[in-house]
This record gives sequence, structure tokens and C-alpha cells, in this order.
Amino acid sequence: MTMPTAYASAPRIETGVTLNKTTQPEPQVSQAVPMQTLTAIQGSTERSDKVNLGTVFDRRFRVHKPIPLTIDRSGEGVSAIWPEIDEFGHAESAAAASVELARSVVELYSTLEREQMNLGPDLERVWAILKQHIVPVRPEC
Amino acid sequence: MTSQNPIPEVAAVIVSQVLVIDAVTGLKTLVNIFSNLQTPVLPMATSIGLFVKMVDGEGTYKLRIRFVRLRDDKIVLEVPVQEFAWGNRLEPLEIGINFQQVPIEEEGTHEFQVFVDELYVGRAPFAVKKITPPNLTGGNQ
Repeated sequence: MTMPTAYASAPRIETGVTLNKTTQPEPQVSQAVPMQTLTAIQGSTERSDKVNLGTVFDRRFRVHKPIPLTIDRSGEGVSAIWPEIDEFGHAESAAAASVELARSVVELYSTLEREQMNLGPDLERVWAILKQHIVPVRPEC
Repeated sequence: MTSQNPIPEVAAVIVSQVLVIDAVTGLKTLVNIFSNLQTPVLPMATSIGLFVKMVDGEGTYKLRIRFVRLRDDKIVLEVPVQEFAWGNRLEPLEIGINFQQVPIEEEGTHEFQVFVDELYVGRAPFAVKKITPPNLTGGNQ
């Protein structure tokens, strides 16, 4: 699909959101409302070891309170860990690990909801934390 | 986002080659939506149109959009943080951005990441693949 072009200048952006100006002269962003110019930062190597999830990537659930994740790059691959409930996702990147974690959180929510009358103290604590952070948005969940 | 503000839900993040925004109506048209990017040359640079639709938000938020290479979580580019006001929770918010000369250095999965108030709320991953173009001249290779 793509056509190769010169690998040269930094990106330029046009957008319809209200954007403020940044420092670098190039590249630019021009926008619809109002028309403005901004610079995209390019090539940053900053990698955070904290991610706050505002979604579980599942339309059946909404995040009510942000899920604080710790990103661990010490081993092979990357782990996204929710220390409070000791749940984690593992993948090749922080983003993919976060998605894996979100998936297991959804599964855990569904399981604990089904078994909520038979939970031990540990799982009851986990269930209470999960309910603070995510809420189902459809009745079948 | 204040503690009263709800975490918006990302209804769609779509990657295309060009996003056309009608200057009069503000209506958006996505041209050549893709989830795989094939190119005969790497590194290369290409134009990308990004469309984000969010729902269930109200208040003032800070938006950050990143383009990340997942192999090593390198931030290829980042739109600086933009503050925006969301007046009516019943109305969705649409954001359209055209990136020009987006640098892509290698094969593998890349993704656009949407952050609202530093919460990771949405993503649009796509794969980059190097291909050998067909010999259309009919001559010997």
C-alpha cells in the first residue's frame, strides 16, 4: 500500500482539536478549530516504568478508577504488574503486556463475580479492589 | 481531569493514509484505512491519518498521542499534551490528525497510543512488513 518517500524531515500534523504551540520550529501541525501550529516530538527514548490504565480494552467494562501498573523490563520480555492484586500480563512490549493484564483482569472479574458468595478473605479483598476500579456496562457481564 | 471527571471511553481509534476534514461541515473522511503497512523500502516515511472517537467524557482533559514501535517501546513521535474542554457528556468527541513524514525504520508492530490525563485509554496497532514488489516489466529479474 505504501509508497516509499524520502526518510528525512520530522512529522507534520493537521488536526481538528484545539492544540497549543510548542517550542521547536519544525515540523508543524495545522488545525481546524482554531488553526494553529505545533510540533511533534520525535525519537524520544523515554520509557516509563509506570502506566495508568484508563481502559481494560473490553467494551463490556469501564474503568471507574485508574489502574496503576508497574512495568518490569528486567527479564525476558516485559511484564505489566498490578501490584495491589498481584496480577500481571507478560508480552514483548509494555503496551502488549498492559493489554494482556487488562484481559486477565476482565477474566478475574468475571470469575470472582460468579463465585462472590464463596470467596476466601484474600479473594474477597481482590474482589473489593476490582469493584472499585472497573464496572460492567452490560447486564450479561 | 479532576476527580469528578469521568474517564472517557475510546469508541474508536482508526489509522488511515489520509484523513480529510471538510472545512465547512467539519465532517471527517478516512481514506485507505489499514492495519498492515507494506513497503518495499525500509526505513521509509509515510503519511498517516488518525481518527479517535471518545464518548462519556465531561470536563477539562489533557490529551497526549504517541506513535510507538512496540519491539522496544520506542516513542517514534509524540504530539505534545493538549488541553481540551468537553462540554456535554452526551456528545462524543472526535479528533482527527494527519501526520506527514512519519518515520518507520523497521518491520514489526507499531501503534498509536491515546492518553487522557496520563491514562492509557486507547490504541491502534498495525504491522509494518517489507515486501518485494512484483516485476511488472516482464523482463528477467
